[in-house]
Amino acid sequence: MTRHTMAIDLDSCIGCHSCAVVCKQENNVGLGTFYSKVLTIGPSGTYPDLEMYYLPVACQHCDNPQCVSVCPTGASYKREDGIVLVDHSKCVGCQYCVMACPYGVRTYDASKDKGVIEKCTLCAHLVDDGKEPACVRHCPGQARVFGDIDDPESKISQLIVKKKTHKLTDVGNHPSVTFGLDKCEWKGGE
Amino acid sequence: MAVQWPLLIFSVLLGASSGILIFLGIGEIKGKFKSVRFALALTALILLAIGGCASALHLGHIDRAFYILGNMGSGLSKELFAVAFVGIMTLIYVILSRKDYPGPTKAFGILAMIGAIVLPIVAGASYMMPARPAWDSFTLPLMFLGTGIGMGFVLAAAFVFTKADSAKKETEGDTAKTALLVTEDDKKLAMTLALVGVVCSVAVMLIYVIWIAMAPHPDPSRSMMRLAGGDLAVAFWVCVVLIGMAGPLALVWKANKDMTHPVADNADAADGAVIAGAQDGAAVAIATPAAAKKAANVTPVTALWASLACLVVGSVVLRVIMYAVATSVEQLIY
Amino acid sequence: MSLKLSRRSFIKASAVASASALVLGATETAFADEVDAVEVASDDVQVIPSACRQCYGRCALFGTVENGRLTKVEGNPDLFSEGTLCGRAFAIPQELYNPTRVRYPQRRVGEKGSGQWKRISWEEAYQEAADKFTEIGENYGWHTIAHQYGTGRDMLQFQAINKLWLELGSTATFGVGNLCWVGSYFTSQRLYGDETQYTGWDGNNTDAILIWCRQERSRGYYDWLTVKRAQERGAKVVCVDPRFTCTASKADLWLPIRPGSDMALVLAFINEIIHSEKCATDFARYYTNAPFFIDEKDEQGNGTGYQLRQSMMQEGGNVELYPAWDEAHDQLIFWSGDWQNKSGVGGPKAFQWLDANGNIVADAVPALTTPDGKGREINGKTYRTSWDILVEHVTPWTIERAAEFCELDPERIQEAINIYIDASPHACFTRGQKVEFSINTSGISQAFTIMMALAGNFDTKGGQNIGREPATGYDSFMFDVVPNQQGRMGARRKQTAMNIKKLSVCQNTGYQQILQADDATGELREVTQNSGGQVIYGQQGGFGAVTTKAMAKGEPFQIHGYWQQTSEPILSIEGSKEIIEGLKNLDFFVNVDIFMTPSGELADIILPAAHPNEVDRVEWAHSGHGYPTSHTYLIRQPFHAPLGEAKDDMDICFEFAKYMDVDMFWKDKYEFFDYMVKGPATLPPQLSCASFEDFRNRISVTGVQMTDVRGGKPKYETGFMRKTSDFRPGFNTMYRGNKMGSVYRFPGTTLPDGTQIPAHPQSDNGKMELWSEDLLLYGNGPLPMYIEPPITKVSREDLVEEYPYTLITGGRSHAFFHTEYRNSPWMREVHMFPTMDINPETAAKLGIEQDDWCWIETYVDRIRQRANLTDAIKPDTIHVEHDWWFPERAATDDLHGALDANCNILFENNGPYDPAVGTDNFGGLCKVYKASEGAPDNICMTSEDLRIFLPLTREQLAQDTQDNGVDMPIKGGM
Repeated sequence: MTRHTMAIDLDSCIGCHSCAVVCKQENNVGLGTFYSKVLTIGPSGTYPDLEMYYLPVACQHCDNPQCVSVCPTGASYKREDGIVLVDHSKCVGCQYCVMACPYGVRTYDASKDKGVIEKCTLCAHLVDDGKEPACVRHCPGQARVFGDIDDPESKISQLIVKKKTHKLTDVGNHPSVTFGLDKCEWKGGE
Repeated sequence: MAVQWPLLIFSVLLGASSGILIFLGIGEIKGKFKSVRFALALTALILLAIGGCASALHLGHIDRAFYILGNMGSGLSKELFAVAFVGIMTLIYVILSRKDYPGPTKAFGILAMIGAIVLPIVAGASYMMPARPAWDSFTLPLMFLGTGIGMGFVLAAAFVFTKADSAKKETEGDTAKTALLVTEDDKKLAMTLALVGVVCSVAVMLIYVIWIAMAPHPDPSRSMMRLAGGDLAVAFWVCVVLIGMAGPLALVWKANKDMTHPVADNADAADGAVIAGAQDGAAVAIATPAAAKKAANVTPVTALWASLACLVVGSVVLRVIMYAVATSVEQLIY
Repeated sequence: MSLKLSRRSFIKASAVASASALVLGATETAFADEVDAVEVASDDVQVIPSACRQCYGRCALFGTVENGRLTKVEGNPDLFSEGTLCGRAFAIPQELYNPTRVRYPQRRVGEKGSGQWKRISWEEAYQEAADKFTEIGENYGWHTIAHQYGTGRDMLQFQAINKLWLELGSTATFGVGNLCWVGSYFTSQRLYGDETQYTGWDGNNTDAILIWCRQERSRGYYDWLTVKRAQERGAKVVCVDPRFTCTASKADLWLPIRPGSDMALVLAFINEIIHSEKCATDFARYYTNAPFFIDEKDEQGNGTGYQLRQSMMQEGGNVELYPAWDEAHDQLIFWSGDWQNKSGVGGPKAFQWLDANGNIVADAVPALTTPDGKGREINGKTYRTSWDILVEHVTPWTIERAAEFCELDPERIQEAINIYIDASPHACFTRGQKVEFSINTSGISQAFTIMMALAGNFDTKGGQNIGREPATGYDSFMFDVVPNQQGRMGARRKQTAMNIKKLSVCQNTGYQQILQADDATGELREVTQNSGGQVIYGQQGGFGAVTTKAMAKGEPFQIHGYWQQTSEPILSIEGSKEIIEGLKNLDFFVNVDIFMTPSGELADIILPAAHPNEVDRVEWAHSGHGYPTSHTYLIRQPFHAPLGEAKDDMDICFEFAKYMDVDMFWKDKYEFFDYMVKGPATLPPQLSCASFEDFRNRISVTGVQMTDVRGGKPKYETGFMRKTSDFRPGFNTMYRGNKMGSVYRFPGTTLPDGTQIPAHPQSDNGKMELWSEDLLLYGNGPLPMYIEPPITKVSREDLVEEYPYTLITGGRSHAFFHTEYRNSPWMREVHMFPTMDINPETAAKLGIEQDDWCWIETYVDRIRQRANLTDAIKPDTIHVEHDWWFPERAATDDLHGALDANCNILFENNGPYDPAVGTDNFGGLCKVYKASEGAPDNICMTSEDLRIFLPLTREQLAQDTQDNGVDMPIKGGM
């Protein structure tokens, strides 16, 4: 089975926010909303032996997405290929999914023409066209890898094998996005 | 997490509404409160309706509310279902309570009561999310139910006593209207229930606070320290502990004492308040003399209404705290 | 329009782009149809390959243009940027259609700074400018008109601006070079004929990269891919930076150096290298002036101080013969620098060692040192070699001393040096601008040069590729070189050059007290600074501070007119308030820009410039390194015609030149582009484009590596370092002041203080000059000296009590490019506020919390920025961002908020400056305290506030013809 997701090599990420901005272009994201955020983790350690890395956080396209289970309308759903999406025509904007998401990556866009939940779509429209998500294609650090995690030959599977990997804190939602980090100590939960 | 006021108001009103319905349900079982059941059930219905409207303000697309039953597995869908059930049962009960169909009235009263017990639990359960450790516990629906019982019972009891007082004046010398009178039994039961309600409320609040203290994935943002000595300390100690817990206990205890020993020395009541308040330390010391003085002079009716006000404040502020500590497991993201 | 169509044409464009890599081969014509297909694929949707100009990186991109409007920007995967793009590229449409853009020529109708403008025609604007400038030129002299170009748009338009105004006789500029890059560029040009400091590092093949104060994500982010791959191969990366930057976090070793103390560390590097077995002594012996004797001044003041020439040793001796000692034959030998064959030892003898009789000594082994380094007696006088002096100079600069000066752990320094030496000759070095923000830029550039040279890293695999290698061999500077070679320099320019001593604003600089470290003891002592007149900078005269003084105070003469293009001095030059005063003094001021800016509000006329993506250019990576990045020309072509009546900056220069009767030599920009992409006649056809149109079709041209041409041999061996086309082994030191025509002081003149400069010809002998005669005359000394910056805890103990923190400025933000993008909703959203970095420990002591607005105060003035608590900075150091203004504030509101957070307010402009290149000090001491007032008034505080900067719609653009100036979006007034 195909499970589309992303792996991010944090050793390659330079925290430049290119992903956050190209996403706005590709997905027409409004001001005040970011599908993809970039956090600076650190510096930590004892001066001058410091460590710092950047953590780009967007929807983790969980295997057991809490946002989908709490959604009263079925607007939030998971596709066959693992991508979690919001059907804006069904979304009532109740924001329970925003509360249920452990990662704060869903945004309620209150502006008049929206009133629905917005989040990373893994550029499903591009994926369906055989392309990569915009942030993957343009990442200046080439830190992002998109692909089928069930295919051991895929670039994403290969990266995961190569690196020390981590996931954001899992409380039963089973995030699918993997973070590779060899150079620093991972500061997130597991 | 920011306080979601529409949802907060909804949960408080829904709780109070449920409390009233449970109060009436017990009354139905015991054959009491006939003179007040219509007004109280109507009140419950109105509170539920206002709460429902408030919660609708939270939605981005009310026009699509129809979709909300789209995923019955979701807490919100269950909640809407429960609200609808309670609403309908209550409506029927309201209508029946004006007529003389003792059997069906009792049946629907009990049905409404059952719904009313389930509703705060369902509403609370919809907040149980693994992502937010401070919410992810049965103590939260329990808190919703318990504080609802507290507010509802005290409100209902206060109403019973108020009605009793006014009925006494209105019906003086009019024996035809005595059927509508609140009986002493009513008052006794109401007072007992008020006591039970307050104790219930205080207990669930305590239990929920204990949960906050011991929730998994500990983090400063949702720690007991924030309540005990951090940015939430004033809200917690003054609004929750003093006003929301100690206050109602003292007031209802006093009202109960006044009712059972109408001639008892007011000083005793004052002592009680002092004792109850003293546990809360210095902050209370300022408030207590005034409260005690007041308590010493109030009638049970006033005490009950005051107690209700305290319970509402406590319930609201505890929910404010509930949102404040509802940070996600992935704290670094905020 | 259909999405499908758009996709199809995009795929075609991609195919063309892939072809661009192959186009140099036989497949050139195979894709010609495809190219046409891009152009005609659809009436309404086009995908146009072009380049980004939003920083120095010049990444390759595609623009999707729908009905004449740019709707999407995507990376071109087939060129050096590998399809990657940073946020600034995606925000290009927000710049193009920004409400703050000037689209029609404007004349100011209110007071200066009132923000009141009226639209005029181009003819009116040009005519008025021509009349006013002519009036000023004729009444006060043409040197009283200053001109200015900034980092602004690109190198080609810089050439046009420069040529126009030099021909007109203008001398003063605020400069951009004295802020960054150009100072070191000219210094190293003078030492060996190339830059090789920011650029030219071969990260693709390296075993170690030494990165000095440079951010991975300041410009040309694809550099990081090179660094990252090097690390993956096992190369070690050393980062020297006072802050724990992104680069530091990725590096294998970080040296958190004390700001401004860099020289001590470089000297320690050189010291360790010079005493290691790895020291490239053969290179020093055969390709540098290390074996040359120096005619040192003795205690009685005898001796010239210059490199010894035969003419100084004996009556009738040759001035182009440089004596050295031949170890092979124990004889005195002479190096002939007479490549121009003017002194009788040229022709076959040029760049050869000759014996006393003038015969070539083919197997000469010039001695680096003299017996015991104490000197060799020749004709009764003892001379040391420049190597002896260099060794003596650097030897006391031990790791321990560097550790003390730089506040570093000596073991860390040792480790860094070991990494560099162990990897040499496959180690490379690159740096950022911050080392340049000092009064010793020329010295530090020289020191880095010595370090790279003696480690043997020049022109090695994985070292430094010296000698820029433009794709076709013709660089942008040919714009001015070609006409000058053909004798087409105008009369006024020549006159100005000849009288530059009187016409330069730099004429009285220098002689200030500076703190120099004594080599032997390491103690700082006060010495009087040299008066270099900023000669090495090559500028006819002018850098920020002196031009400010001329405008504001009339010293040494009053500037009356000013032409500003692509620059914003109020934000980028020290002493901002005095600059405002100066700009207000002007009789006439023309500003050419894309947007309304703080200084623009003080102009008399504003000419609307086209956006870089509305014009044609030959573009190349100003940041990239190694092959093929630094060998590629790529097209930057318009996504659409300039908005309104905006025009290409280059066209504006060419058009205005006609009004001023200036001979630009080139008919128009295309004539030069054609010349540039065609290259010399010897160029292989696959590298030479028939014309710019041919180049447009090819999208890019990638040249060859010169070392590959001659079997991997370094260019200095094969003659490729020579710009004279004589292909002699060796280097090519630049003529002083070549770029701008001439300089105002040559040896043989008397300085204002009465000092006689002994006459002699400038050395230009094919050797790399480790010991520099020019820096002796015009810099801080012939060898790199440690100079303590003027305002540090060490140099100004008197200030420390009141201003206890070391203040550094100008770390690059990835959201902006200097002053640009403050009006971009997307980029401002990424980085909303001017941000001060402060250590949490310091913040706690001062009661400052995260995101508190704080005052940063120096003894000059104070500004407000928002606190970011981070361990990335030492507790005693504060960093503030540069170039902040608030376009959301009105012109009347502090010139669009140019005074609140602008760090150049914090520094005075009274020198001392680098005597050779005019660079200044942009750091100091400060105190910090919480601003009870909070944020500056009227600035955007939320994403919602930024809506005012959203792109204007097609309709809005059509409707607003800016008859009464630019309707500036003011916060809250949508």
